[in-house]
Amino acid sequence: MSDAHAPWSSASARRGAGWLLGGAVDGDVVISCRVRLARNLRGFPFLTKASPEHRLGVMDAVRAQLACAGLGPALLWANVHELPSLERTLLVERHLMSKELAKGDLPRGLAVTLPDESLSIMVNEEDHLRVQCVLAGMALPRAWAMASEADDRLEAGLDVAYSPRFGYLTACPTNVGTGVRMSVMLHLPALRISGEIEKVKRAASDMGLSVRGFYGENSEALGDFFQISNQRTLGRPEGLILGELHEQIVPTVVAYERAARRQLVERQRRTIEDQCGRALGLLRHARLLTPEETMGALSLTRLGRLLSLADCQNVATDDAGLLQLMLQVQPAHLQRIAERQMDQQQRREFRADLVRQRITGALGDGRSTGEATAQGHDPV
Amino acid sequence: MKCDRCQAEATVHEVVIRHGKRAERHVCERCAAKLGLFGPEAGSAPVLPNEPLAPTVTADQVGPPLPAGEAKGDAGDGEGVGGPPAMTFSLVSKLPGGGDRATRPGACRGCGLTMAQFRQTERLGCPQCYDDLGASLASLIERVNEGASCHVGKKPRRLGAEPASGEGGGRAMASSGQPNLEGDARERAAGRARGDAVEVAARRKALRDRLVQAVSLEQYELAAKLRDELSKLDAMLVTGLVQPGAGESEQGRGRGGLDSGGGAPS
Repeated sequence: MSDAHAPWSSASARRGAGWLLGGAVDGDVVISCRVRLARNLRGFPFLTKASPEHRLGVMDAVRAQLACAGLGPALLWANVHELPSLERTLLVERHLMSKELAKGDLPRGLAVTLPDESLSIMVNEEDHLRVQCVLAGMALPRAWAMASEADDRLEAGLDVAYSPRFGYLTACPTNVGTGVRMSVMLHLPALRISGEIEKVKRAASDMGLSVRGFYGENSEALGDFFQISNQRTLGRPEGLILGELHEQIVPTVVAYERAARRQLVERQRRTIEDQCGRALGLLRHARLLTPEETMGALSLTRLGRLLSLADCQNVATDDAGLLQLMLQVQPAHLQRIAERQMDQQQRREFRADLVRQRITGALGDGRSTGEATAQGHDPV
Repeated sequence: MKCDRCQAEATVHEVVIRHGKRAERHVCERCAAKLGLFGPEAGSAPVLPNEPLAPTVTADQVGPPLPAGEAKGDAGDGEGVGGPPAMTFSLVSKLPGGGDRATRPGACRGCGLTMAQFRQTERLGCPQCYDDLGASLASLIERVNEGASCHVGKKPRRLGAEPASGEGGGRAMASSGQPNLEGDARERAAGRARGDAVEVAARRKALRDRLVQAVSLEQYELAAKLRDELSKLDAMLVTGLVQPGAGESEQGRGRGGLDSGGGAPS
């Protein structure tokens, strides 16, 4: 397996992430899905009480079992505490690990299956082990099956802390029991524009679900992406949590977004055309772009493309390309694509150039990307 | 703490609740045996260490009567200890080694964490905390999980469970290390039999812990229900009628629901 497949390589940054390929089923709204399991090992304290030696002991035990677990064609291991800052940020941007794992210098690790990066295992984050599967589209049953199988193969050689009463024991009692967090990422621009996203958030909260943004934070959702996930982990089996999300919650919200999109077109066509047109104009012509305004504009351009509004269907890239741009305009990905470190101003310039090329198909010197390829130049 | 009868180190502690009034006595092992506080006559079943010996709950007087004046606490209700109580709970617990544990009361014996420290960090220190931090932690867990207090769902294979991912999980893994499915299935069946006994014993311990809590909180109706469940489990162990693990029905549901077609599990 060559270095080009490492998740922080420039080839990987240019290729994008598998979970942003878009899905065939409900792909107009559903972007990706994720299943995460939290586990701890007996014989070691939880991480708030663990010494660096304990942490190294956990990492050794986990690595030994990973070596024989057969989780994928190839498995990358990283001592995250020894990784440079840019590589850590790249892994966070790709959703392979959390911001918490990227912080600090205490021993911690990450394993990622290659080349598809569908499985990642964080070691010494909030719990000793966090097994995660991320897939494109509405593939939650498959993501659960893969995460659970990985869990079984790790547990075959590790003594996992479990009690018949409380289930899988976790450092934070709010995760105890199944230790599972299942989530689906949805693109909900119409619900956000109409203001009805607040109703969705309240209804989700009433049902014991949480609604978070692209990177899981509570702030305004970047790019109109919203992740809906279960909060309760005890007293309900995984199959029930899965079924509720997969069969009830997500289809309901998908229908709600589609209805909101139809209403925008039927009742406020000029307004929504104007918003999509302005967004496309920004992407086609801006010379400096921040990440936030880029994601907002990409979201509206995607909506315009799906609804055939304001010339948005004539962008030079397909839907998967638009989604990948959401990742590639992030600060660390941008620098890895450019293959150089850049300060904020340089990143704003490069971001605007990259987006303009992808949206219009034209390079800065007036050639199209097709002409450049024919001349042996690799367009960005 | 000294024995109420002979001033040796007290390691057996009895709490008697009669007519809603609570009385305690603390005795050494020898005096406890003389009083019949544990052993076959007290109706106890096989005991795990560090847990109540005899969570006996009867409608009659329990064991030998407390000699008048020897029971600490407010048991004096004018009726004397020989009268027929409406509902009497007697809980006897034994801690090994009396005073040889330096941990503070209410702290985890594994890592020393207290509930006060937990409230600051919102993180536990080790797996033992779940056993040792008692009712406060349990009630917090119930609150966060809408009243649920027990795990339902996947359990580790070493306890004899079928893998929750089923066939779909196997297909989903692209790997050269495919398990020997037939051999694994045989081993899992044998493991399940071993696991059942382990699981019943573990469930029994969990019920006993909850019974201790219920009695200490004077939740008598709950305590009576828990006592009945314990009796059923004891009967299973004695007669050998240990049923296959409760997880099987969920495993069946889980397998059906995890096909890549995404059918809804029941």
